[in-house]
Amino acid sequence: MTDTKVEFNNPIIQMDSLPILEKTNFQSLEKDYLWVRILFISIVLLIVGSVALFIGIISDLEWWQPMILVGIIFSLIYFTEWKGFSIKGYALRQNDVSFKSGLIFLSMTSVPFNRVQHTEVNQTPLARLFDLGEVKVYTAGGATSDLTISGLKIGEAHQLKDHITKLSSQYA
Amino acid sequence: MLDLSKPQRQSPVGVVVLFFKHLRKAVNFVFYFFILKYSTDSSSLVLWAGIAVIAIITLVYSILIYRKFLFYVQGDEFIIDKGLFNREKIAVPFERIQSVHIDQNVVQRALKVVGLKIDTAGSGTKELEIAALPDAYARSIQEFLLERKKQVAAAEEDIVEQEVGETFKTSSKPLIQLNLLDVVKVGLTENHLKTSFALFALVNGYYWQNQDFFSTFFLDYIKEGQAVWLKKWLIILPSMVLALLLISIVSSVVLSILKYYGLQFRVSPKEVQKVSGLLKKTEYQIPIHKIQYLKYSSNPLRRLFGLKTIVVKQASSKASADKQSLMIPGCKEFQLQAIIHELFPELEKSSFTTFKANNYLKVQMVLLFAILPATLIGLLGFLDARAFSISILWLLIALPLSIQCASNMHLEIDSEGLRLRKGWIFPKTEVVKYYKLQSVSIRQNVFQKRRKVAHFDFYTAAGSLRMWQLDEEVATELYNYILYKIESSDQTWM
Repeated sequence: MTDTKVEFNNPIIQMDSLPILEKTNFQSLEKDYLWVRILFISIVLLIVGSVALFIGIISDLEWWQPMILVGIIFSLIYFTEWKGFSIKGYALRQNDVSFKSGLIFLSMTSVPFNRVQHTEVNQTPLARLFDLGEVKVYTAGGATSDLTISGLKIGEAHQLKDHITKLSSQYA
Repeated sequence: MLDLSKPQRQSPVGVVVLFFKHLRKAVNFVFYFFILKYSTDSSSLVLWAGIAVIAIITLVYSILIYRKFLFYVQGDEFIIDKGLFNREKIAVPFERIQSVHIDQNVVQRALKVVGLKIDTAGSGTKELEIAALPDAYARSIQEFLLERKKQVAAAEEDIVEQEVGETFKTSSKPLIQLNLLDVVKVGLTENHLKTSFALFALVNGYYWQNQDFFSTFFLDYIKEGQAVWLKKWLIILPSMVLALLLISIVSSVVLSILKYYGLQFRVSPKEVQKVSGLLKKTEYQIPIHKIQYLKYSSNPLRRLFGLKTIVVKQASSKASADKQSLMIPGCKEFQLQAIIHELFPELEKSSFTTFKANNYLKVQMVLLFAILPATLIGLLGFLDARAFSISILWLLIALPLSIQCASNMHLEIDSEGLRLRKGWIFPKTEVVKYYKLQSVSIRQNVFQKRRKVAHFDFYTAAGSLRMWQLDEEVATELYNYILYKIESSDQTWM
């Protein structure tokens, strides 16, 4: 209790000596994961596009008009996915794990290992094609505070999960 | 001695308690017999026969439900076996029990029994309630369940919980106690605009649902009234608003007396406890270690009386988050200080470093709440010229409000915890200790990035808190600092 008194009155000065999560600490995701995302968006595009075509045919509009709108929206989605991919990344430190993402809406979330509830490895069918998987880290802070590290090689994902589980179980 | 190994029934008077409980649902059907009677000119025999049939069906249903309702203990689980048409067997492992409440409504009080409710961490929707038990029996079950829960938890985690002080004695002096005058003040200072709106929506909804009935029943009045209505709406509308406000004030006072009369709030080394209610006495407790953060708020009327509302937030699953917090209305400043002294001793004497939100928050709020709505209303001005003046009026009111509200956004940091102060008309403060945080996030859109500001999210097991538009530099430092504080703390958050 007594040694915490030192930083008690001046938390800001203390900050210089803190371990700092720098942007360069972040590890980028597997390049293949970009293809998983693009494939996924293309499948959605296929479905939305055919609905738009259907609407275009049965409504008073020209048959191609709804498709133009869909085309504009999806080119934006493709663009942000493409440009935003390099921003996505995760950082693993001794005591916590972090993930950041977002081209237009940037976000960075960190979960300390002593607050991890449980972890799991997921693999979507598309990711299986590329041998990729994701690690989900759950906390007690609700869905928005959970962390998903996607775009890992499936073997790495299992390793990462085991690593986090091992570290977090020390605190249980 | 308490023996729960064999299936138990509740008190036989439970039939009556269940009857009244189900009757409340059945009353809706009675209403339709009224409609039938008055809309088809049938004799009142139909009405009475209908009511009698409903009452008998409800009674028989209650008896069957009562007979099918069993509770017992099997291994490490408390089991409730119930249901007539779809049988349900709910098993609650002892360690998942969050808390056990005892309450008493008017019927239960008249029959000298109490209801027992079990809260669990996960199931927000499942009803774990025993309707009628003798008071002493209910208390022994409550004690038994909490004792078993502790045993299981201790055995699992291999940690023997320290016995800290004594448990509650009702004789111990409460930290907060509300008398009748306090409770009336609380009712008077309720947010009446909100209540009026809710009331209006309720009446409106009920009217539309049964529109056919009302329109045949009141047709003559409506026809007659229509002419007057159109002519004198300038008088009728304000008087209706006044009436609505009056009803909401009166009902707020009545509700407040019913809910908060005799409120007592106690803090012991192990838990906080609230007892309140006039007809239905409810008892609510939260173990100290489950408390995640504290929130206190006020409104203009309450500020006149120097009153605040305090909410103690408990760790819970999202679905039942509202039910899981303990609210104390009508708290005075010194009582708030006493609570902070008890629950957050570390934060009491500390010196907070204050950070204001970046001025960008003012820009954002002015755009969102003043300029954007005013422009939209102003656009309507091309259809009806009066909209222009409304638009200007809106701007005049919303502009200073937005600026004030934005400039009141504060983050105060200390070595053990933080305080978030926000709002102007409805000021609100949240207090949380670092080791109660689960994770942190920084969020920023492209505009914010250009301005070098970011939102800061603090996640607790009782919901998330947000500091809006914090300077990026401060946010990054704080992010590292809080992570360090969480990671270096050996205190468990629950």
